[in-house]
Amino acid sequence: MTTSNPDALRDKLMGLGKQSMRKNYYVDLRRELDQRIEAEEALKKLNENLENLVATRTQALLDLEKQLIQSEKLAALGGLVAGISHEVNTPLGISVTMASHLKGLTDRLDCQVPEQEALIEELKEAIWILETNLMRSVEIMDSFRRLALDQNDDYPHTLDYMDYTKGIIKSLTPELKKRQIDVSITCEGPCVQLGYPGLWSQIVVNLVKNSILHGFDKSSIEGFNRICIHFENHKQGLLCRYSDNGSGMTEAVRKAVFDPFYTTRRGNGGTGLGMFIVHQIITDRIKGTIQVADNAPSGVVFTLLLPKIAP
Amino acid sequence: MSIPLSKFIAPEFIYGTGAAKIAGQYAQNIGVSRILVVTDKNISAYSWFKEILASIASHKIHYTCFEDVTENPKDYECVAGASLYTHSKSQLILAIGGGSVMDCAKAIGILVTNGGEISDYEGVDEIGFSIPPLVCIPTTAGSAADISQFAIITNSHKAYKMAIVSKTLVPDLALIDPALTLTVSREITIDTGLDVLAHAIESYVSNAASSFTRLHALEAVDKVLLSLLKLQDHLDDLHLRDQLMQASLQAGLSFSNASLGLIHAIAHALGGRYNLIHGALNGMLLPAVCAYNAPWAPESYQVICQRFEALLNYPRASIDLHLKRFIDQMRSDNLKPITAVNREGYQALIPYILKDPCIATNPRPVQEEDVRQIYDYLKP
Repeated sequence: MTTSNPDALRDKLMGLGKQSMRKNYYVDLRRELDQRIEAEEALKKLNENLENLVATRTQALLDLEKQLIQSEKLAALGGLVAGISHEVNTPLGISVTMASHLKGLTDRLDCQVPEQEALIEELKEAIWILETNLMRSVEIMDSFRRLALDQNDDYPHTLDYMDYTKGIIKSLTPELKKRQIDVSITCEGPCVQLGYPGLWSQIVVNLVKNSILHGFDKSSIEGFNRICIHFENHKQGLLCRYSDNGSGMTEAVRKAVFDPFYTTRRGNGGTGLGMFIVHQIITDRIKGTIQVADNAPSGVVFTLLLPKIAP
Repeated sequence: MSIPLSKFIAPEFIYGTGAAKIAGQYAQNIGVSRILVVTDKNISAYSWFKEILASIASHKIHYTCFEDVTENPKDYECVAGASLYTHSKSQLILAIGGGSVMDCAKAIGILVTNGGEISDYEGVDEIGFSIPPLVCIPTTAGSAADISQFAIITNSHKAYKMAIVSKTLVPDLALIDPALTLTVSREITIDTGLDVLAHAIESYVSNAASSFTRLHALEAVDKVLLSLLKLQDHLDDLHLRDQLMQASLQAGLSFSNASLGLIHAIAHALGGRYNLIHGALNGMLLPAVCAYNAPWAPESYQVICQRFEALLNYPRASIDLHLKRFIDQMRSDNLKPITAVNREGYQALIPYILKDPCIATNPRPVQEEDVRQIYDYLKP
């Protein structure tokens, strides 16, 4: 209670005090009403956003599901191929042995009978064709067998991806020089984490070879052929963006790029297994992801996520 | 030259026979559906009280009655009323009664919107939030609580009356029907009449008085002088009741805006401690305090003296003699000398008297010694 200043008290008694000026309920009500309207609008907006959010998440889930189905399909195919190659390997081995045995036997045939000389030459020719094709089959079977996922000879090492990738590219220099392709390797922040050097090497070699074989196959313009490998830290691990400025892929190629035995160069000795192997290594062995960009202006862009591995 | 600030606040009021029955219509118009009726047990027994409730019900307004108000309303009664207001989900307070009931209703309103304890709001302009809509139907002609910004509540722990003064306590509507006072006893009629006289005189001489308040104060003095003496013998004369009710209303308009003085400061302290009747106490204090104040506002008191001389043919005299003569003509058992209060008891109350907000507008600056001496005037 304020009695210290009689004049102030007198003013207050006369209704001239701060709280004595007339108040109007309307103002308070209006303010409260406005606040409620505002809150309601905010809530409405939130609900709308929520619907969008649900739609986005649903789409993401659907995409993931698609990816999973694709992965499983590819894994099953991989298993099948590896199984077949294992089964075929034994009869193939026997065939190879028999072919070289046959070659030896033929050498022992005497050319004393002149009329048989032409026949023996024909025989030798046939055996050579047989042997060459058998060796080619063995090679193919070997590459199939590499898909067998039980091979566990690669252990995780602490890997400086930047340095290690430079080394891999160096080993490919002759081929790159032939096509006058520049390779730039860049990174944002440190790119050291646990990884499988052997598997990584296989991935890089496959990608680069594909670029050389498919991207830069046509008469390329000097000084404009470029492959970029860029590393970036991501909360789940290392993000690697592989791109070239080659001729790129058609929609149909892009869709089938990871399918086994899919090749545009079957006549030229392509097995159609390169990108399939890359896909299998990344998804099954490294437990990462690989995506091919569908909106690259030119060339190809692959985005690889190399997840952190528990030591 | 500067013209001093003055302010005049009055509630909306409707005056005349049947005014009380407008309560239901008003509640309906402002859109409430549940109201708390604050009253006391004497009033709720009257037939017109039931008629008011019936008119409220006829407007589809649901009401809850709080009847536990006593004379000199106590803080705990206000707490009980506020609790009932909240639990009954009321939206408006309707006070039907005398000053005690209306003051209690105001305090209930304070607690409902401001929370805390009623003692938190003692003093002037201490109430932050408006109280709920308040409609007053006065049943005595005296307190003018239906008009004023005052609520006087007894602090039951410390046994004194807290003066709560705030413009937020001016009711939204006063429904004034003089006929409701026809049943008031002679004693209470005289008590409340003297309260009106004290309101009128104190606010007239107040240092916060303006020409707007003096107009009503002087009218009130005239109407008390003309009606009260006759009324004690003709209690059922509606014309006289009307005169006194108008006096009460106009004195209320005056003192609600110009405030009061030492009479009320002392009456609040004594009444709170000894549970004395406010009006009678005012009657006894009037001559003493006026004699004390007169030298500081001689012109004002002269104007009032002239009213006694012109209207009642009193011979020329000082204000205290006029007042004594007037009060001596009253025949009321309540106007017995105050034997309950001894000198020591009175002196113990001096700090409360000096703390009362009414002191601030007394025309003469009040000293502790002066208050002590007033006691001598009160002796038989």
